[in-house]
Amino acid sequence: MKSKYSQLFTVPVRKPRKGSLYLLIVFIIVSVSVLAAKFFQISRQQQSSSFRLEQNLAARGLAESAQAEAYASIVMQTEKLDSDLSKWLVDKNQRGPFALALPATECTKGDLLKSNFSADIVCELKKIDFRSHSHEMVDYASPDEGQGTLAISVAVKLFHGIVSRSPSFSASLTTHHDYLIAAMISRRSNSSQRTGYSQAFPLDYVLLVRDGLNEFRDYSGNILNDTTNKLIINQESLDKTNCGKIYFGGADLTNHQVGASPPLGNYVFFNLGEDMTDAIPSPPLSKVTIGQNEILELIPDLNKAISDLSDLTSTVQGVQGIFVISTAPVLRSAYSGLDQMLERKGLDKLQQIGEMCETNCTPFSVLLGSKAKLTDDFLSAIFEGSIRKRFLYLVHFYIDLSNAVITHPDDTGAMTTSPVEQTEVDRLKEFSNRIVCLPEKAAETTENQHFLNLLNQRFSERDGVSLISHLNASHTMNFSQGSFSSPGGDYATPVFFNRKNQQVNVSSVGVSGFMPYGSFELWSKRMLKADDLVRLKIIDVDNKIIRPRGVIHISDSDGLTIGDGDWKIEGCGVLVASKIVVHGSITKTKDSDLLVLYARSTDIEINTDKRVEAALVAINNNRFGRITALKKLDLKGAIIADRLNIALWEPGEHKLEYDSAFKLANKDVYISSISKWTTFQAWVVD
Amino acid sequence: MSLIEIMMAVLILSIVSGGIFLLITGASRSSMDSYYEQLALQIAREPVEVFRSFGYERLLKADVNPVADYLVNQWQVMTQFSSESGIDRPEEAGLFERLIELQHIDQPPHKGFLVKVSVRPLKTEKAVVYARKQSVEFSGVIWEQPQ
Repeated sequence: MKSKYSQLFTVPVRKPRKGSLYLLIVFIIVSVSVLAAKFFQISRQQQSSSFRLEQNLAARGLAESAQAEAYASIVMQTEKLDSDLSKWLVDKNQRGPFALALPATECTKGDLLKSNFSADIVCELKKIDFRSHSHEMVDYASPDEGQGTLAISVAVKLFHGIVSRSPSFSASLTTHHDYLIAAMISRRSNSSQRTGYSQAFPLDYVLLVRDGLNEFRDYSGNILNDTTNKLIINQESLDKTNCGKIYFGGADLTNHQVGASPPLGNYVFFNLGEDMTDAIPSPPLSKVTIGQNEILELIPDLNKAISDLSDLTSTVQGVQGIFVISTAPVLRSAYSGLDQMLERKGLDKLQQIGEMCETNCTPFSVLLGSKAKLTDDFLSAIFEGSIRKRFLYLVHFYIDLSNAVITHPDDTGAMTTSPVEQTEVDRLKEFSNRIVCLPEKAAETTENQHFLNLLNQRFSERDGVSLISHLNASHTMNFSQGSFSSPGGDYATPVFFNRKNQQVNVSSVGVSGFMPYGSFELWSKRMLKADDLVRLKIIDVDNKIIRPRGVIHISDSDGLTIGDGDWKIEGCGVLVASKIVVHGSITKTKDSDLLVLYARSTDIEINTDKRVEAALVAINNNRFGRITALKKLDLKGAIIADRLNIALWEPGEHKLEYDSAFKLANKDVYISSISKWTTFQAWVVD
Repeated sequence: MSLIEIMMAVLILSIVSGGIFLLITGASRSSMDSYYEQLALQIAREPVEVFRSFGYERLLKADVNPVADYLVNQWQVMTQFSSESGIDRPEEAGLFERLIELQHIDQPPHKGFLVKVSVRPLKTEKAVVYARKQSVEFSGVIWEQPQ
């Protein structure tokens, strides 16, 4: 029996609806659970991503710090030309990567990581490509010169926990930088010429005057033979393989100029003074004798005087004319005795009739060192082109009666001879004067006009020997006496190239002409202001240090001024400016340091008598670049200029010593410059 | 269906719902925490990047001539846009404040600055509710670069 309440609690259940609520609830629960689980999973993934991002940022920060240290290390290490990195960078054959240690990053990486993390950092450098030709597709002098791309690759592995062996995160940062390899010294053998362009070619020379021949002509030979200034070129400690060359532009057979002013041959000459008597060749003959008939042609008045000595039946025979030939220095400090007075007289006349540099009789003022050192062999390693020595070739004439006889008939009518007596010789006194045999041009100004005219027209040469006095400049400049009849040839004609590797004349201008440091693509810095030099510490004003590295161009119109004080060079490079003024001393810190000061528009002024150890280059397209020594020059390096203008220098002795570090026969010296600009960057997460 | 059954169902549903609620709340909080952490890292990384571009020499003068918007050794509230540096940041950047510390490093031949940046949510802002970490830190080294 059912209670009356049982109906209240008994719900008639329809079979088909039984369990659907459960199913709905279960469905909702399952759905929500799945969604919640998924949401939770996504959330966890997001958290994981966040953690990974955190590691990514930490690793990247570490890699960027490492990359910054790597770049700084590369720049510092490549400053040293003999460092392993410099050698690797320069040597094209070393194609493999270079492992770069990063000690500073190793020491500081702990500060960049959380306490439960550690990291491995590996840095490698790779040469991506290298172009050893200019934008004009002209190969550089050396295949090691050129532009390339350097990849700095830093791989970072993060380890989570102390004992973890497998990295929790690894990635690598790769950046690309352009770099340049430029030759600061290009190998050159003193016994051969260059075969192609190298922008450092001026360093082959201790003295190169590009417009040397014209300057020699324009300024009466003062460039080499000056009364007030002496340039002492010291190469005593060097040998012929590492000495600097000397060339006066235009003074060679390739530059012959028709109608040029004297010297008409394309040569320059060193006047030999009396301390160089040993270097003056002896004449091929000391005397040339002519007979009475020829004397009477040359001196017609003598005929009457001789006739006076004889009568109708007697004749004078055996009168001889003697031409005395000698060689002598162009100038002596004092003249005494008959011979030297004749020298002086001849010299005066030759100077009187000479033109331009022919009149210059000052002994040479560019001194090259001791004669013992300056052998012919050594000089042939130094000189290029036509460089001659000049001395006086003197011929004078006198009448010799010592063998003269008077032939007359004796009492029997037979012809007899008797010597000319002294009383009779005295009657010829007016003809006893010695006559200096001069060029015809001098005839008008002498009392012996007829003699000189006829001499030049008919007797200028006898037995292959000149009978006319002159200042002889046909012999190669050397300090050995040599043979008069073998004047020697010119020194080797230099060969110059332009940046397109085409052979050019020394006087050619423009970018396709004669141009030192013309491989502009290999200049490490361009268009800097003077302030930039200070900012970049190329000129360290506080510590008086000049840090050249590669070719550095300063665009200031005022040029570059190196102030007072004792400056040190640390590095290897060229400072290019429109004008350069040096007020203080400049010395190298170590042998391998090198500084070239290159004025491209005007002059280089050296306003100090302290030591300057640099090559001075003043070459421009107007061909008027000059070096001006406002005080006594003490230069160890080289002078390469359009014109020397030594007459404008402080009067006195100036010293120029060649720096043998400029001359290497077997190897080049390269400087590398790595751009700070990143041309490519990739952050790759493994 | 008995009352007991219904109550059991409600109980299970409640437990499951509660669990799901906690799961969703946790996940939501975790998501927000990740988001804010990423934002904080982004804010922390910014001075290191900026200082790297300025370089070592400039940082030497940071005490006497502070870099605009990147004051050293003091907490700075972030703004969405920096009129001094011109850098745009997400809107929520204003929920954080930042501390930059510089420490000079001398590792011959290198010299540099260790830049330590701490970023934390402002206590008055909602980010503090979500952020599990009290602060996010990021460090970088600015090495002196040869000229």
